[in-house]
Amino acid sequence: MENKIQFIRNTAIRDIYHSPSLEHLEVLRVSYLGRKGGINELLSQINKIDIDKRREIGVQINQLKTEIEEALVNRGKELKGEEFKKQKKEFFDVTAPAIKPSLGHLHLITQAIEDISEIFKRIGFNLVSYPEVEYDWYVFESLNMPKEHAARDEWETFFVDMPADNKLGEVVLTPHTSNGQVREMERLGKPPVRMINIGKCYRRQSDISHSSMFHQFEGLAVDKGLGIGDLKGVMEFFVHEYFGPERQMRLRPFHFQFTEPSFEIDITCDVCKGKGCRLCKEGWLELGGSGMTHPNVLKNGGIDPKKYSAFAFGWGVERVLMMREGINIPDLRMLYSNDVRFLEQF
Amino acid sequence: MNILVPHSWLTEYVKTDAKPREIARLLSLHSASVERVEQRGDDWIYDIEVTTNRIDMAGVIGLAREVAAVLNQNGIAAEYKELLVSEPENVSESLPITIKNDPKLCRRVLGVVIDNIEMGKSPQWMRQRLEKSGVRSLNTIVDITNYVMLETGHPTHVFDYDRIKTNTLLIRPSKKGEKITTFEGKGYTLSGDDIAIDDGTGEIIDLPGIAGTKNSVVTNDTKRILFFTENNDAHRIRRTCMTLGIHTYASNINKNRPDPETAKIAMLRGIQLYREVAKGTVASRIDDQYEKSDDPKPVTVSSEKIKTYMGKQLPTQQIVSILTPLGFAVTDELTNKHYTVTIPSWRRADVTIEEDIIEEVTRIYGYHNIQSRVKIGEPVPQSSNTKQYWMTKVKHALKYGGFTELYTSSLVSSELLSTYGFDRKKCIKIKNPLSEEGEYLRPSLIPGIVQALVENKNRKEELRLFELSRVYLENNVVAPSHGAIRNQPVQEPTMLTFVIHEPDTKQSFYKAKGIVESLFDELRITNYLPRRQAGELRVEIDESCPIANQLHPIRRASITMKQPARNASRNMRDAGGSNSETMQTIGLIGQINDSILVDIDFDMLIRYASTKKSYTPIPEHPPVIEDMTLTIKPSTHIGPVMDTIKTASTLVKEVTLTSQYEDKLTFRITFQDPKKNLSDKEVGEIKELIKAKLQI
Repeated sequence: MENKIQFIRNTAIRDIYHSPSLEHLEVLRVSYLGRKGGINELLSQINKIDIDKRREIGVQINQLKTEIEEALVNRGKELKGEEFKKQKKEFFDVTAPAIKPSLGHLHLITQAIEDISEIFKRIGFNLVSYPEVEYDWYVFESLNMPKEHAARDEWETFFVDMPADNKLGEVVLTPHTSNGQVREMERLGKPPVRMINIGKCYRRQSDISHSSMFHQFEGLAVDKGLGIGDLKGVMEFFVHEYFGPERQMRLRPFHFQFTEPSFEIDITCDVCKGKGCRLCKEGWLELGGSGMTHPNVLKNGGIDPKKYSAFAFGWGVERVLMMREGINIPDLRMLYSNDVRFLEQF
Repeated sequence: MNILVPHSWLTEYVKTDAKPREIARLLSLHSASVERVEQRGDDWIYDIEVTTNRIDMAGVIGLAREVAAVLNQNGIAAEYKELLVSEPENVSESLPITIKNDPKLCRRVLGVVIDNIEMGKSPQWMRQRLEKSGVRSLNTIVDITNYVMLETGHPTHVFDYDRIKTNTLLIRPSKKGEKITTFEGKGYTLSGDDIAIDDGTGEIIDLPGIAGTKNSVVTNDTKRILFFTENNDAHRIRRTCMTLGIHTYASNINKNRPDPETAKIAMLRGIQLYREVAKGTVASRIDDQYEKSDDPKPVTVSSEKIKTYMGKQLPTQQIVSILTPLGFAVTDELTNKHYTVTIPSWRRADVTIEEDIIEEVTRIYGYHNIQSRVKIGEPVPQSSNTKQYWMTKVKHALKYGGFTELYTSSLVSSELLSTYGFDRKKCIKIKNPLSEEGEYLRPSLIPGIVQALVENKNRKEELRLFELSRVYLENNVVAPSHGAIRNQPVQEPTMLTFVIHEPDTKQSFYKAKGIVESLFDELRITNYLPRRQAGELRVEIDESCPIANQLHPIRRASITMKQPARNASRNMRDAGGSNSETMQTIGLIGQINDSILVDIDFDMLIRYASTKKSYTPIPEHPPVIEDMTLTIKPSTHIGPVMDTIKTASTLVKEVTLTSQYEDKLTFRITFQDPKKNLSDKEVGEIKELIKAKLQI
């Protein structure tokens, strides 16, 4: 038995020392230390030995195992070092071009809509969507804008060549996302309402800052005891999340038919930081309209304005996008030009 | 409307030491938006946006009233100084002209004759103020009318008295087709029911509230004038402006219901100026025709509601001190639960309900002084459709699949429709399109996307473009889709359309097919290919579909799904034939020119989508993977061959096509038994079975 141990020791150490490669070294490891290797074979024979010698032989086998392990580690290090030296002499060019998976691009408007809805989602506003081809009732009449009302002039509305509905009136392309207000109140049947309606809108105008197809997002909250402070809180949350905490916001008195009181929301100009410059109005940029919902609108949505109050806002997606990114698109209509040289920049 | 107001003029009616920039800042916060304030010489000019409901602020005096209230609220000393005017005395002559008014057309008409006018240049101070306000100075007579309008906020007018030959002014609705020539010499044809002044002969000698006409305006020889102020029906003024496209300073005010009480002040101020500046003498009494309507109704405001809106209780005293300087009178304030507020004449059109008073209180108090808060409140039930979730998922999947998203126009031209085979008679038409480019609402995303593809071909060799958006169809074309909103005038299904264009078109069809299948995987549409019978690409497509004629006659297929039982509802867009109960066509794939197009009804697609996740145990026994090369007859469809292999035994787990050379196909087949290791013999038997089934 002891001879056997000595024999294995001699051949193992020699073989390991002369091993030419890491692969060969691994073969040696398996042949000595593996499940069916030399060491295990020795151990399997140990019960054939006299009981009083067994302990000493056991110690010797373990010692052999340790020696082989050490030899393997040492030779392994040597071989790695040699391989490393060889690899160092090879040529490899990390500056050669990368192989990229081909990625596409989401439209800027999709990106903006995702950002906006994510912010409002965090404060409990549900994303909803409503018709683009819409009845007069939802677009104007229910929003406290009776026929012939001067306020309608501001919306350069497209009319659809379809017969009018007896109750709901003419069919138009919605010029704002406010059509979702009464529709959402109808859907829920009762407060609370907290919606963010994002959609396409259409107006008869086309110039460098207007596209006849554009996007708006409309917020509406109806609940008990809502006040101007709640509106401000939501507006400020959005402004700080979307434009950054350094931007200041103000409410400026304004007039809309479907809110009372009505406000324009302004934020400080990022170019002059609120000092006043060529691009802004005395340091402020107009973000969009908002206000406390007019009681007639709540009534038209089946909600009692004596019990509940509400606030709403409707802003342009393109507008907030331009105001945040500073992307300097010279003509807003480029967004809808479908030119890949434009689309692939974002 | 935007008005320009010189600081020097404003401070004639509000005494204050406040600096112009400070006034501008505070006005924007509490009242009207000052868009710009600029120094001009030793004066400052405010550029102010006056909203349509606050036309009382279109004059210097109305603005001064606001400025005083706003400055005082901010602790800055300011005193509003009222304009002092009085009736001319010692005039006994009545107006020598008969004015016949229709109160429906003009709520109030005032006229007076002024004689011995010194026609010429206005004094420098008047000319400067007009010019600083953006109004061109012409001559004394006209300048005074403009000056009065800018100051009082009520437009006025002047006729050359001696040019009115009939001594009659008849205010009447115009007839359709009547013609006028404005003082600037522009001719217009009236559409009828405009407010017109007739000199009794049938000839129109003025378009009151909008523009004077050439046949009655003052000339350099004018000595005697009829100074005239009328308060018009705002609706008619607005309509006339819109139809004729005339927008003057006066009409911008008149279409927004200026105060008829102010009309009298404007008249008296005008008389004062004609006497002082033009040395005129009053030659008649003022003819004042005014059917005074009832005083505005007082408005009751609950103090509880003010508290809700402001988030805090304001003491009564503070509410009174806010409202009084604006011309409101607060009574009943002692009860504390309600206030009764009397409305000044110049706010009667604007302030009619409780919320209007709350607006006055809160804006003067200052919106910036109201504490903001974010209250999350009770959760709101989400709308039943989770479409947005799937839209986001699909858009992102396509982006990572190399597709660039388009937003093509919803409005398309009739030319584009016919190019791609769509019948415009079946499309929704716009009554008043902006141009021919947008006469119709798109019934499909295809025309727009293919158009975009064509435009981009010379910009990039390889294109992958998609759009996920709505199309517009009349209600009678399709049954309302799942989750449709009630009372919707038209259907707006969402479509997913994409195109692949690449220089080597050999693989394009199969790449597009692969995208469809990967999307199905992403949406966990598990009953689609490659498992047979669940859903499959049909070779034939619906020939009635408009795009059919544009597609390659054989390189196309419809995307057809087997409907789960719950969806087997009557749907008018289902594939027809005997399978209509179980099969549903949701889209098509096909070659158009040298590109591959895929068009899928997204609303239908997501009815097959699932968020359900389930675990299948990982097999403990290793699979046997073998390649099998088969020789097939020419024109054999590979799909059914693979299906045959797949269904030959339950132990066949997967079949892929690894190579195809002429009539030789090599399939890699994965055999696996979940319970044990498969022997070579068992695998051999299945392979024989496959050959037998394929009859090879």
